[in-house]
Amino acid sequence: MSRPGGLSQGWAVFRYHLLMHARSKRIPGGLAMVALAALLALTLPPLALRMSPAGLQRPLTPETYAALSLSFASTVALLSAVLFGSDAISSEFERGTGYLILPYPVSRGTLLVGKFLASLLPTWSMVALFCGAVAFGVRVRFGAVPQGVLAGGAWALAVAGAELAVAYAISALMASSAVSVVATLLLFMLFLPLLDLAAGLAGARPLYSLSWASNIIEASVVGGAEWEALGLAARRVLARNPSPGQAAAIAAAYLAVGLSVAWARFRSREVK
Amino acid sequence: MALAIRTESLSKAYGRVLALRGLDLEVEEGTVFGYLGPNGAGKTTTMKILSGLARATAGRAWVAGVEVTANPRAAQALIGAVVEVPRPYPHLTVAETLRYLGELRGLKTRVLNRRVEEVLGLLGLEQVAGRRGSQLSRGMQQRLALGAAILASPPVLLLDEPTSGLDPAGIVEVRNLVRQEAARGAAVFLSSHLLREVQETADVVGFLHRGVLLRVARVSEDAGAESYILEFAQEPPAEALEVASRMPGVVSLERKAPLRFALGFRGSPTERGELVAALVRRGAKVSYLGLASPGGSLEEMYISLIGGEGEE
Repeated sequence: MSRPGGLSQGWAVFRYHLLMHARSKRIPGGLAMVALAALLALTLPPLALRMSPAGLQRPLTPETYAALSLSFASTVALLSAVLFGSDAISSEFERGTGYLILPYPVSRGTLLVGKFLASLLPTWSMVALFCGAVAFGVRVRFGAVPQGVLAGGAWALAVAGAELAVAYAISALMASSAVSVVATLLLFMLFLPLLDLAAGLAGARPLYSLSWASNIIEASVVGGAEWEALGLAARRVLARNPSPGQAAAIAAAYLAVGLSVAWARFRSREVK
Repeated sequence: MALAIRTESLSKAYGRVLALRGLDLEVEEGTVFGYLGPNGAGKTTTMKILSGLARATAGRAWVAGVEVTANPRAAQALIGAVVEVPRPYPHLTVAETLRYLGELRGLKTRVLNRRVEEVLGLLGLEQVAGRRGSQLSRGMQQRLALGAAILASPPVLLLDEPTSGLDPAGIVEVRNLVRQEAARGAAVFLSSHLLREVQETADVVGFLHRGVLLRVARVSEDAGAESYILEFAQEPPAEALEVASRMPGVVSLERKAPLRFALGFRGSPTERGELVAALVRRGAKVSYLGLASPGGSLEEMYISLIGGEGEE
């Protein structure tokens, strides 16, 4: 019997897992999440500025509005990554589908890559939809979209890809999908932001943190000095935004480490 | 006949628990091997190692000549496996699942389409071909897993409790399927808790207990029958033996010595009397007919080897 090539197997894994995502409730759930996030992103920035004495004295510019709205993109990226990736590996073992597919002559690496790409596409679609909605909202309000929004969107995609890789790694490490979801959320919504805050207060740049690197999304539209001028408390602490080089290196490192850990654990994991 | 499965001192430990202890096993091509033992004996562990789902702690295993323990991917290309309780992907239909798995096998589109249709028909899945995995009953899930295992007609089938969740009609279908697969030359390595099923399906059985293979025995056609010794005062006429071998209750009649025969018999005392009468009528001088051993069913073999530790 002939053994098929890894490329054709990976293509099959990608296609069928994409089909599974398309038929699952995750797509409508993701779309609802994007709609809610876009609504909040386009309505909250003016309110946030009013809460800042310094912000009140300055007019709301298209750049500031776009940057504040885009700051929600990192949350959308995280939630999308969790939605489409945080049970990707654990569910094969937890739900018993692994008994069906893992005796097949397909390497775990091929399975991982196919599944990852099938998760990446809807994750990126959600992030792109959100960024598109922000751009549309800014254009409606100001008649133009500031330069930098496109770059901010691209950075959001990069961050989403890196977060998805980490979600895959955690999914490969955890026995339960529920634990995997919670662990991924805690990492990016609590653990890393706390470390960012501590580093910011100490005047250091947390070069290890993807959540800090994700500040590049809004920093692509408005620089750090502008944030300080606006007087937003949290942003004042974190005003030392990453450079594009730093953000790219951190995102690439998270992507590489995330996928490597996922592959190493998935490869050695036995079906109990 | 060539060996389809071979293991050499195969061992597996889960922490301190030894699930398999130096398993030496041989299964020939075209053979249905019934793998019996109580819960925790190591049957599923053996299946997992052979199918690449788990790694052996020590020892080696080969499937169709390919060493599983050294080259699991190449070995997996030669097996079809139903291990434990495989669950289908909830958002793929039955036909899509088979196509997906067929593509992973590298089946070309035309062959894949034909095989999917054949397998759907063979396992009675045509009516649910468009139904998603989440909508399948346990029995249908099991049929789908079996279909996936035989899709590429692999030379080795590993079936762990394949009739689990099936109704009586499904059990008969699986039994026929197993025999068909063996008839085309596949080796079927089958574990089941239904001893009668194994007795009716398997050519050879292995009894596993606490990770140790206690005995391998050929399931003879007269399993379940009583063994008698039949002796004659002089050489019986060939016609008498011919008629006797076709009489009701006679399972086998085999010469063991010049005037001594082993009779496998499964029938009433009346039928036994009629057998002797028929022999005498055709000129045979029956000097002795005595019980050699009671029925040698798998159940009795199982109890004598393993005791009452829960049938499986």
